[in-house]
Amino acid sequence: MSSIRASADRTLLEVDRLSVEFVTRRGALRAIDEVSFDIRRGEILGMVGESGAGKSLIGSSLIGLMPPGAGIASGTIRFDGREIQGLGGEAMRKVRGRRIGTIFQDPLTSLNPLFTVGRQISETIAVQLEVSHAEADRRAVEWLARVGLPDPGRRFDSYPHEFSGGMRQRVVVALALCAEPDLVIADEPTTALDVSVQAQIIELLRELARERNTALLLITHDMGVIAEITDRVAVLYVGRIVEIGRMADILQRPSHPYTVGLMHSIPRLGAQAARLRQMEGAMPRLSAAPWRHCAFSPRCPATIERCRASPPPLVPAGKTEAACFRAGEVGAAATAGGTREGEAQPAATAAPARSPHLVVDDLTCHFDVSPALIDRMFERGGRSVVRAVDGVSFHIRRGQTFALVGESGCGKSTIARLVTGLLAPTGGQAALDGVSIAPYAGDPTQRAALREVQMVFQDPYSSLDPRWTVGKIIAEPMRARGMDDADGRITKRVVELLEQVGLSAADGRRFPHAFSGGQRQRISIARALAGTPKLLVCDEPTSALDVSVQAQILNLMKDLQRDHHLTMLFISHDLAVVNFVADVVGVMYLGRLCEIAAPTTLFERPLHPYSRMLRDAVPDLSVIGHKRRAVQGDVPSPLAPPPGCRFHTRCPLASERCRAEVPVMHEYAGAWAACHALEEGRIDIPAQRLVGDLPKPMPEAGELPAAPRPASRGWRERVLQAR
Amino acid sequence: MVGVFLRRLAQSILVVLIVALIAFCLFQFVGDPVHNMLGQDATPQQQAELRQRLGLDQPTIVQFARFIANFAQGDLGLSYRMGRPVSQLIAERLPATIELSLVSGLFAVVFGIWMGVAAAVAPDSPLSRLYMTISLVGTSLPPFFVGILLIIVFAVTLGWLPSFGRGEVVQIGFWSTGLLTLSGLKALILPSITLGLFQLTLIMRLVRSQMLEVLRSDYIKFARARGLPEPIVNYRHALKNTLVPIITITGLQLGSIIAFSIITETVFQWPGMGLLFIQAVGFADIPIIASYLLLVSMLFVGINLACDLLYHYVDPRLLDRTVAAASR
Amino acid sequence: MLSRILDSDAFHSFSRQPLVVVAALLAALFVLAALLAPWVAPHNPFDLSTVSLLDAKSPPVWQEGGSWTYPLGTDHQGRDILSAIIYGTRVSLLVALPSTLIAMTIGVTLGLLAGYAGGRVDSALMRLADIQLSFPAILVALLIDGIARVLAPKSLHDELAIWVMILSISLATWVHFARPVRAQTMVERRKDYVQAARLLQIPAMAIVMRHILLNVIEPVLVIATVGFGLAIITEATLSFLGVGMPASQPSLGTLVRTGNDFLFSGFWWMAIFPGTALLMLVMSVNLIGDWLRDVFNPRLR
Repeated sequence: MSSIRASADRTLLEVDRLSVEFVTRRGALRAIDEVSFDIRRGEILGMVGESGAGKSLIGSSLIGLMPPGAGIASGTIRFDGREIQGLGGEAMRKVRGRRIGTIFQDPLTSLNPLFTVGRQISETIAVQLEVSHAEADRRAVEWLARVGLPDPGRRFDSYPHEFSGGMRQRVVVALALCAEPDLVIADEPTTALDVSVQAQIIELLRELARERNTALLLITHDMGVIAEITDRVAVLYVGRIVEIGRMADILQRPSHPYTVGLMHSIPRLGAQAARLRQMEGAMPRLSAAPWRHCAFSPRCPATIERCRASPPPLVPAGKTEAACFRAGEVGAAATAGGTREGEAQPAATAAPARSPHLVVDDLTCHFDVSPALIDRMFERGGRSVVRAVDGVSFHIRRGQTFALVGESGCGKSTIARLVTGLLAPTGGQAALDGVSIAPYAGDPTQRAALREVQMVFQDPYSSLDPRWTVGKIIAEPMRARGMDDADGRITKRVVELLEQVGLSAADGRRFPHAFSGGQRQRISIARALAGTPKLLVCDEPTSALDVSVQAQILNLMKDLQRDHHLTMLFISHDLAVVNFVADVVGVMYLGRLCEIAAPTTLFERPLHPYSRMLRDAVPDLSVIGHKRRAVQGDVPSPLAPPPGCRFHTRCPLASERCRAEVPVMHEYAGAWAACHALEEGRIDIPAQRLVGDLPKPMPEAGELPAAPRPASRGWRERVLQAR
Repeated sequence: MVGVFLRRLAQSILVVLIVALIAFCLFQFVGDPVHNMLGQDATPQQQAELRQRLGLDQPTIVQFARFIANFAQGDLGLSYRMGRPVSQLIAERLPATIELSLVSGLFAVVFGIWMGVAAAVAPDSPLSRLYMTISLVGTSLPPFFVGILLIIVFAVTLGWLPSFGRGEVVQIGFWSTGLLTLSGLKALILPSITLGLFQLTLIMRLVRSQMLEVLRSDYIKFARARGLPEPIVNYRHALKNTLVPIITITGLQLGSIIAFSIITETVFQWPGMGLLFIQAVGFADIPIIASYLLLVSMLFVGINLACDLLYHYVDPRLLDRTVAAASR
Repeated sequence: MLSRILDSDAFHSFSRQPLVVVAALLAALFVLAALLAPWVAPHNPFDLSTVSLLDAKSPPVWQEGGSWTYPLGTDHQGRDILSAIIYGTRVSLLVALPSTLIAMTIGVTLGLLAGYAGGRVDSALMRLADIQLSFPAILVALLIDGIARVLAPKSLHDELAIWVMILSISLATWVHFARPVRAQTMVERRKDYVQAARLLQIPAMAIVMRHILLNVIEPVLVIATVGFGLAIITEATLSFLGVGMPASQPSLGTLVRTGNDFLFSGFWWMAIFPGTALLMLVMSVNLIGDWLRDVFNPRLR
C-alpha cells in the first residue's frame, strides 16, 4: 500500500473521500463519489476516464470553480497541509493561480480576445506576485520566451487571434505557470490540438514542471498522453476511481476489468487486427447517489453476485489498487501483450476487384475568402484564396477501404464533401463507375450515380434531426427514392437496419436525444445503409466518441463493409484508427497527397518525411515513457501555402528544389510518394516490400473523359471557379 | 478600416436617399400642394402660376434632383399650414428635441449599463431582482402612459415639477438651451425619464444577457482560475467583451429615442420637432413631414455609422479580417 | 399523455413560478373578456340610448360620488369606463394579434429564404432589413398610417383605420422575426442532418419545410410573444397620438388619449384605468414571453 500512496512528508495535495453532487429538481445526482487520491510535490498524476466520468469536475472542484448547480457534498481537500474545500471567495482566490494553476482544453476560447497576450500575462503576474507593472511586463516577456514563442518582445503586443492554436496553448501554459504555482491542473491540454503540436505542448509541460518541481494533475481521455509523461494514473468510471497505481502497471498490468477493457479498446499502430476487443454497452449516466452496486457490473464480463450487492472498495490488487472484488483474478488473466483476438493476416481480406470504383482525378477546391472589393482597395490585403484541396488524385477499388489521414485543415473533409456532391469542385473531377459525380451538372445519370454514395458524419449530435423519430430518420433515404410504404416495406426495412446496427425495433419510435453518442452514430450508419450505397464516405465517424464506444463502432463498420461489400472512403486524423480499418491509406498535407500506401507499409516504414513525422508523433502505448519526437513548427495557413513542396517549411531534408518545384508521385518499394528527397535518393528506400504490390493508386493521365461542365454554378457554396 | 467606413457610408447614403425618395413621393403623390397652399377658391390661372413657380410642371426626375439639391442647401420648402419656411420652423424646434434626446439617452445608457452589469454579476441578489422587475415594468409600460403617470404624481399631486413646456430658455446664437436655467432643468426631468425609461430597460436587458453569456465563457473561467480578483474579472475582462455587441444596439436605441420623442413631446407639450411633426401629420402638412423624416433618418444613420466605427475600434479582431478568416 | 406534460420541464418551471401562473391567468382573463365583451361588459358604451350626459364624469365607486353602476367611473360623455376598457381591449387585441401573425409569417418566410439561400438573395434581404431597422418601428407605422390617411377618402378613414394599423405594425416589425430566423437557419443549414438530406437529393424547399422550420420555431414563439406585447403598445401609442383607432371605435390607447385631455381637471380615472389595463395586459404577455425564453433556452437565465 505504501508503495502506491505518496509518503506523507512530501504530499502536496491530499483528497479524501471527496463527493460532488449536482442538485436537480429530481434530487441530487452524485457526480463524484468518495474519491481519494494524493499528489506529491513534483509528481505528475494522470486522471483518465471517458466523457462523463467526472474527471474535469474533480479538477474544478479542487479550485472551487465547479459549474452552476454542483457542490461538494462531503470529503476533504488538503493542500499543502491546509484544508481548502469550501474556502470562501477571497481565500480561495488566493489559492487559485498562485498555488494551483489551471490549463483548460481549448486554446481558442481560453484567452480573452480583446486584450493582448502580454497584458494578460503581465496582469496575472502583477496581481499574484505583487510586483510593479514594469517588472510584471518584463517577466511576461520572459515567460513568452520560456514557452517558446519566437520574438517574444514583439509578440507581447499581439492579440490572441493573431496566433495559431498551438501558439495560443503555449500562451495558456505561460498564464497558468506565471504565478509559479506548486500544482498545475491541466484539463485535456492537448485534446484540441493537432497530433504534431500535441507533442510540443506535452514536452513543454514536462520541462516546465520539472524545472520548478511543480506537481501536475493531468486530466485526459488520451492514454497516449498518459503513457508519455505521468508517474501515476487514476482511472475514473462514473465518478469513482476504479483503479490507481504506477503508470507502467496501469498500462501493462491493469487489475480492474474496466481498465483492462479500456486498454484493449484502443486501436494501435503495429500489427493489423481483424477486430478490436470491445466492451459492450456504454458508461451509465449519473444516478441518484450513492451507487448500490458496482457501476461497471452491467458491462463487466466477470460480474458475480457480490458485484450487484454493493460497490467494491479500492483495495491493493497486483501492483495497483483496484475497486473490484475479483481484481486479482481478472488482472492475472489479462496482460497488455495478449490483447488482440486473432492477429489476422492483412492479405486475408477478399482480393479487391481490379477496376477502380471511385476515381478522383486532379480534384481541386478553392474557397474565395477575399474581403469585399472595397476593403481590398484600401487595405494591403489582395484576393485571398484558401486552397483546401489542390490537385488530389487517387482511386478506390470496389470493396476496398481507402483512408485519408492528415492534420486539421489538410483538406481531407473537403474531399469527402466533394465526392458526395455537397460541395462543387473548382477543378478536376471524381467519377463513380465511370460516371462523373463531381462536378455535378444535374443530369439523370449523375443523379442516379450520386444516389449510390452515402455518408456517415463526424458529429453524432448534429447529424440527426432532433425533431424526427429515429424510424423516420432511417426511412428518409427510402422515401427520398420514391419508395412507398403501402405494404409496410419501409417499416420492415427500418427494423431490419436497426437490428443490423445493434439497436432494437422499439428504438425507432424514440427521438435522437434519448440516445448516447455511440448509439446515434449507429443510427447515422443505419440511415446511410438505408440508401443502399455502393460507396460509403465516413468523415471522422468515431472522433467524437470515447474509446470503448469507438471500438464498437469500428468493429460494426468493418462487419457491415464485409456483409454489404461496401467501398469506403474513410477520413480520419487518427493513425491508429486508420491502421485498423483501411486497406490503402493516403496521407494529406495542406491540400495535397504526399503518400499512398498500405497501412502496414506506411506505419512500419513511412517514406515521405511528413508521414514519418505523423507516425512518430503518435504516442506508443507499448513502450512506457516513450518520448514522441516533437516536430517543430505549426502547419502553415492554407491561405498562403508554401510554394514547391508544401512540407518544405518543416522538412529536415528540404532543398532548393523542394522550395521551388512541386514533387510528383512515384513508386518506391510498393508505396507511392511525392518527394524530391526520395526521388534523389537522399532517403534510404528499403529494397524489401512489406506487403505485395500496391497497384498504381491513382488514375493515368487522360483516363477519365473531360468532366461535364455544370449547367449553373450552385449558389449554395461560395466557390471560386479559378485556375 | 477605411474600407469598412466607406462601405458603411455608402450604405448610409443609400438609406438617406431611399428616405428622400419616400419623402419626395409624399410631395408628388399625396395630396396636392397647390390646392393646399391656395385653398379652395383659387382660379385655375393662379394654380398654374404657382405650379410653375414650385417647378411642379417639370419631369419627376428633375424634380427629385431639385428636391435633393434644395434639401442639401437647407431649403425645405414652405409649410402648407403656417406658410413659413420649414427650415426656419425646424431650426426653432431642433434644440429642444436634441437636448431632450441627449439627456434621456445619457440617462438610459448610464443606468442601463450599470443596472445590467449589476444584475448579471450577482443574478440572485435582491438588487438584481429589483432591477429585473423595473425592466419588466419598463418594457410593459407604453411610453405615453409613463408620462401621464409621472405628471399625475409629480405635477398634479405633488406639484414639484412642471407638466409641460421647456421652462425658461437662454438663447445662445441660434441655439436655445434649457440647460442653463433652473426651471429649464426642472422641466427636463419628467420628459427625460419618460423618454429614457423604455430604452433603459432594453439596454439593461441586453447588457445583462450579454454579460451572462460572457461570464460563462472559457476565458472568464480561465481568468478566475488564475486568481484574478472579481472586480478585474467582471469589470475589465467581461465588461469589455460585453461592450462590443452593446455599442451597435445602443446606437439603434439612441436613434429611436429621437423618434420616440414624438410621443414624449406630445404628452409634455414639449416644443420640439416631434410635436411639430405630429401636428403636421394631423394637417397633412407634407413639407414638414418630409423634412422631419429626412432629418431624423440622417441623424439616425449618422449615429449608427459612428457606432460601427467605435465597434471596430473596440474589437481588434475586426480590424484584420483576413487573419480572422484564416484562423476559422 | 397528460402525465408526460405534467412531468415535463416546461410545466415544472411553469408551476414553480407563481408570477407566471398569475400572468397566464390574467392574459386569459383579458382574452376571454375581450371575446365575450357584449356579454360580460356591464354596459354597452356605444349604445347611445343607454349613455346619458347626466352620468358624465362620475368617479370610481370608492370615491365620493361614485356608484356601483359605474365601478370605475364614467367619461366626459357618461360612458362606463369598465365597459369601455373591455371593448377597448377587444379592439387592441383585434389589431395586435393579426399584426403579429402577419409580421411572423413574412419574417419567418424571408428569414428562412435568406438564411438557406445565402448569397445575393441573403444580402438583398438583409440590406432591406437594415434599412427598415434604421427606421424605428413607430416612424414606419406613422409613415404608412400618414400615407394611407391622405390617400383614402375621408369618409372611409374610420372604417379603414383598423386595417391601416394592422398593415403598418406588421410591416414595421417583420424584421424582428426575419433576423433571428435567418441566423438560426444559417446555423441549422450547416448541420450534418441537413447535409444528410441534401445527399439524398431532397429539394431545398422540402429540406427547409421538413427539417429546418421545426428547428427554428422555438425562438420564433418567444419573439412572437414579446412582439405581441410590443404590437399592443405600438397600437396604443399610435392611437394615443391620434393617428390610430378613431374615437368611434376606441382601443385602450384611444381611451387614454381621450382621458389625457381631462387629466388636469381632476378626472384622472379616465386615463389611468385604461392605461393600467394596458400595462397589465402587456406585462402578462411579457412575463409569458420571458418564461418561454427560459424554457427554450435555459442557458440564458
